[in-house]
Amino acid sequence: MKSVLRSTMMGLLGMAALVMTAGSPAQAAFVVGGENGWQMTYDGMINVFMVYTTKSNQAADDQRQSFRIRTGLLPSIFAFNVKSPTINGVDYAARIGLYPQVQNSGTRTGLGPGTGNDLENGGTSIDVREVFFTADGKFGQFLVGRALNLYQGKNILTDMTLIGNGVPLNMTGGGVDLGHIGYGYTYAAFGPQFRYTTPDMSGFKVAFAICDPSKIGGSTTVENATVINQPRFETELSYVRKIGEVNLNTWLGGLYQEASFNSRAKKVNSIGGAMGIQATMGPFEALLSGWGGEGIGMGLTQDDGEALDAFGEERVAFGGLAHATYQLGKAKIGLQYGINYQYETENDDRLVDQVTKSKQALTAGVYYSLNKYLTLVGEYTRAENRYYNGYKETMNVFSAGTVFTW
Amino acid sequence: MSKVFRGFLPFHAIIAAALVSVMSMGIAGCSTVKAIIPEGKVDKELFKSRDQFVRIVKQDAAKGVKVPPNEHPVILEVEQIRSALASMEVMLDKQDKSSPVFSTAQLDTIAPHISRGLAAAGPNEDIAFAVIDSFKAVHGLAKEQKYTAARVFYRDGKLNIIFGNIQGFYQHNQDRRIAPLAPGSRTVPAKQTWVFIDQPDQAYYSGPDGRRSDWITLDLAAMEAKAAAADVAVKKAAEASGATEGRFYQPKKSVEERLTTLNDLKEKKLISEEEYQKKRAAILSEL
Repeated sequence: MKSVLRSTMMGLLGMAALVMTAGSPAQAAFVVGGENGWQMTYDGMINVFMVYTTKSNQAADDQRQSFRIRTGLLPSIFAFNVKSPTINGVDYAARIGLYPQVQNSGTRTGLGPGTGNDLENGGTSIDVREVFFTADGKFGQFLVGRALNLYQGKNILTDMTLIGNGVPLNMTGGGVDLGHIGYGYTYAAFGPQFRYTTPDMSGFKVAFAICDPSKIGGSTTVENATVINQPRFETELSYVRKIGEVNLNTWLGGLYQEASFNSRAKKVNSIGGAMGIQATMGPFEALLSGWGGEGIGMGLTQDDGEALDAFGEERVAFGGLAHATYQLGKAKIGLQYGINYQYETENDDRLVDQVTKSKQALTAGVYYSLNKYLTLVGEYTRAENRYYNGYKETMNVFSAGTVFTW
Repeated sequence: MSKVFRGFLPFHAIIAAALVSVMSMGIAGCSTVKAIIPEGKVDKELFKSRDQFVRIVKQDAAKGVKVPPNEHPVILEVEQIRSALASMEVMLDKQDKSSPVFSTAQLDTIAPHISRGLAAAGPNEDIAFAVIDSFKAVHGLAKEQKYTAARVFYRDGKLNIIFGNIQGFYQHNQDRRIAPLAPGSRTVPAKQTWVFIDQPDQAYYSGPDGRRSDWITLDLAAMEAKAAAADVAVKKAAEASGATEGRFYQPKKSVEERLTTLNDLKEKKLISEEEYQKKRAAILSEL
């Protein structure tokens, strides 16, 4: 089970954050062409971290201590953007984003193409996370293709550790790290979709997407709900307003999907809500975001083996993230706390199984912009996982790294 | 359904209702945009291409403060505006030499629309714009996009420009509600890191709170007079040398041409009948 989860996370985790928010490193987007109205830009980022982790009450197959040089929460990025001239009032654009990682797969020579054991151990690989085009006009925006999903998308984009490291994925150090994924929100992931976003209506925008559905992951492979005959629906209402000196960024999101099992006629749902409010005033910034739902899971939305119990019943979980940051010259300092909490089902209660109860983490970070291209990052994170059988594990994570963007 | 939710059915209903209502708002958004946008916030979009825009906006003002009216509508020729803007130079942060505030492509983009906007705007309206171009970066090895945003209005016989940013760092994929390409403001000075190069007929605006280093006034009449004098000098030099060309400044148009332009603006409904009659009388009074 654990290896399945790990390999799944390897393929999916990390973050692209194409829409960089305030506090993230700036992307210059270098330009090619443009003279005839068509323009190509490319942007990207490389981040590398030294990560030292200690873990108490570790599982049998994990180390007590670990040191790796590796990718942080975000993979590296190399992205191409093509923009058309305005044609009959419509602006077309396309983006293809490649997301490689830097670490070996735990051996000196194990670069790995990202398959089999290499995938599990987290060698270098390239995820093609973004392949989409957009049409913008007075009508709003249509987005078609593979992009960051709406549900909890803003929850991860406003994570203080977005350009940092946060909580490690595992002690062997494979794959991108988690930031606060699983510790304050669940991972939105990238996926194919048709999305419509309204124009700005006095600070309001509404977006809804018809998404490629996902299996709803159970705690055993037998209980994965993999029969899907309808799309997943995601939506988001966002509102941005300046009140005096305070800039407010708020959002409310939702997700709905059904799936059933190969082995029996039973339907399950993923249904969730999410929200957030971010306030910025001069050098101060504060965030409070949250989520809740059933059949969502604890780490990867819908797909982390926590969404359903061993009998295919949806589990209920919720979580929240809060942070405060302060810009001190070129340095941003911040403190962030996040927690995800899961209820046991009746079946969980009957079975002697290790069901996750809560995952919480506290991160203190310093993000120093040496110049507009280069940011130095230092973080300390303490994470704690609790289980309904009384089992508990704690991690202390020290990371230092650098992020280069262009 | 889980045990927790069986005892808490309204949760399901609330989430479903939220989904339906948010989605229905999205669908409704297509047809209700005009109704939701407060009247007067964005009156007239003169130009829009991605994040670039030129539009007529209401004058900005602090609460309870009365702003002097602009002398709008005013007819300024495109070339008149273009020449004035082209004459502005600035020393940007961390650069060792000055550079023009606007690139040629940026001038080509905004000058016609500013001219059109000033002719159509009312006394309580400004022209706001944001314009983007590519500039050399990484020691000339690449190009990166930068933007300039400002507010323009005509008052006391001068063209006023309040800058929000000059060649500011541009990120193409930002949410413009969070990171707007904001024009300058009468009430809140820009946190600028640039210094304008002293030029004839250009001055920093000085108000009750002192000099504003993000607010420039351009004396178009003086510029025009000097340009006309220079034009005459060039013509004379050209005649003396036998050359047939050499003019670099478009002199003010004739009364007939100006009346024709005014008539065009009226036919396109860019100005009201009242504005038309007022400006027509002003032009004819010059005869």
